[in-house]
Amino acid sequence: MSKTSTNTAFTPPTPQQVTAHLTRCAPRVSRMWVTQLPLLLLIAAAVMTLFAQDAVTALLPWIILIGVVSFAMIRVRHVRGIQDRVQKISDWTQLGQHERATRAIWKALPLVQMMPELHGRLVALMAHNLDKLTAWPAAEVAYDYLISRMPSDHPGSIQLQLQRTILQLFNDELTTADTNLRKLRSMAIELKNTPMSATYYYAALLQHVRTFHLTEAIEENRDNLVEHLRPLGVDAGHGYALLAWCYHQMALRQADNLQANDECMTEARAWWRKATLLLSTQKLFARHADLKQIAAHLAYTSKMDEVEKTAENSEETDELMLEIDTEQVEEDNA
Amino acid sequence: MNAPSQHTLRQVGPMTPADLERQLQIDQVLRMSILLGFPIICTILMAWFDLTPDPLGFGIMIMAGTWMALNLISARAWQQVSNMAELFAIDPQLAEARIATVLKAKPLARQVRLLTWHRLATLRHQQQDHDQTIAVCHSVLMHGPRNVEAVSQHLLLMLTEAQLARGDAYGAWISLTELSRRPLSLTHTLQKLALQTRYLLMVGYDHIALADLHGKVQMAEMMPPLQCGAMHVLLYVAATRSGQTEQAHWLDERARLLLSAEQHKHILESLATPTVTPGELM
Repeated sequence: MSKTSTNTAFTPPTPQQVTAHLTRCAPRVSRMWVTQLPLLLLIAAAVMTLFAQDAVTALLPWIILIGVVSFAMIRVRHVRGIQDRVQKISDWTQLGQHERATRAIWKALPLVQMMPELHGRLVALMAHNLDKLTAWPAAEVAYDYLISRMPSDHPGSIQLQLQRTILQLFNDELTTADTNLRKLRSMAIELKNTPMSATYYYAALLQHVRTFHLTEAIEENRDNLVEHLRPLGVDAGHGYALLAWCYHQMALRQADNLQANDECMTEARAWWRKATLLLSTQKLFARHADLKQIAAHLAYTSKMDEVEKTAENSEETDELMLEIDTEQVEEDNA
Repeated sequence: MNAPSQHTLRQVGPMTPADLERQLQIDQVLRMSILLGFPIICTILMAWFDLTPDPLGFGIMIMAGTWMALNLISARAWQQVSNMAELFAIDPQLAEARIATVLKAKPLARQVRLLTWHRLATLRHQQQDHDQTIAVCHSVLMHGPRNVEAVSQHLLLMLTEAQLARGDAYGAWISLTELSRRPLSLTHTLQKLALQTRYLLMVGYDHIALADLHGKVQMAEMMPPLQCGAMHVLLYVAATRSGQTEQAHWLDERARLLLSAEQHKHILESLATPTVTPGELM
């Protein structure tokens, strides 16, 4: 990742940089004697009190006691500070400030080597942020790192594997993605109406789109796509946009058959409308650049574009971001 | 280890602020008695039998050890109830049994007692026992858990939701005012927004509910899908009542994509949906 100030352009890290950083900052386990040291010192201090002969030997246990208690208090404050920092990074991710979050994760990872839970959380946030920044090869490295450290049938691992499969489809690793989708199908579909099953259905649709299996994409999704993708919330718009693209491509293939062409274009407009009800065209294009081809043909002004422009000046959103940003800007500048 | 069978699981009965006050007083009396009494007795015995040249110093060491032992009791009790978010969803009866067991332990550190009551409030909130949620939240907030701001925020949110469910607009207003005074995390800000919107609809302030609509829609998108859809339904109702037909239509279309027909109907009928979650319990 290029080390630039916050004012210059941000470049996401390369897969090699992510691998190197994760190796450098791998989680570590404290040695037993280090974790038990405060208790051992307290016991030693108690025993010393029994054999105190003069002022020095009487005073020393108290110095040890004060030292241990002070160390514990400082350590608790330090851990709380790191937890607050990780929470801020999580909030930035949720607010869509992916560049800031990625920078902060890069700096925070060395600090959490002795805290495995926070370490895992930060790596998961890194993968998510890199995904949103469309640094898909680098995001895949982070997902691989997490998946290799979890049981393969754990629900969290299945969700990560599905996310990784989507990235593999974006990275044109179609064979690997196909193998993973087949493996994950039964586990994902078992949990109906959950984000996991919705992610699976989105990945399956994306696979059809990337392999130009338009007929299968339409057959499998035209009746149930809304229900299948609902657990994704507004992100379901990406799936609707893909189906609109499929219908549009089908219309182009059937240019000679006016009726079929009209039907396909009608469906394309309907699905594109659903997509733009939930997401702005900017967000749709950022994820799937091919959609730009059809946007002009469908010529629908998305209200979400107006919402995003208006909300840029929104006081409430600004206040919320300002509260979270202020302290970190001071830290960054320092 | 096998879970206890169902009919032997402990339960926590109805609680009042007086119950918490009594428990805290018993804890304090017991702690002080043990913390002072045991070292004093040991010091007297050591001086009497001349076991150490510095009985007073050793006595103070024993006091430090006693203090650590008492904290260990509280730490052990805390371990049973610290991470309960998953247990609330999977087995609420086992969660209640654990809370009941910890509440019976004495003496507990004040903070552990208050945080266990917070877990009880979370359980009652999940069970939609609004009266008990209000009682338990009020009890804990009166004693102000220190150094755990996120817990106070969570208690206020649960209290507000229970008050709205009970139709107590004034109580909900007081709780929302208190929440506005505190710096909230992002998750709690979003939950407060949903509760605030419900309150505004309850008291008929539709135009205020629709203020900065686009900003609120953006914030709603950060909520979990069900809450996001519910927020759209609330704003749709406000827009309809205010005569803003175009906005209402747009919000309704989005809500119908985010919610199933059944969910949409249920929320419209009740104008309520669970908003506050156990989240990351401290």
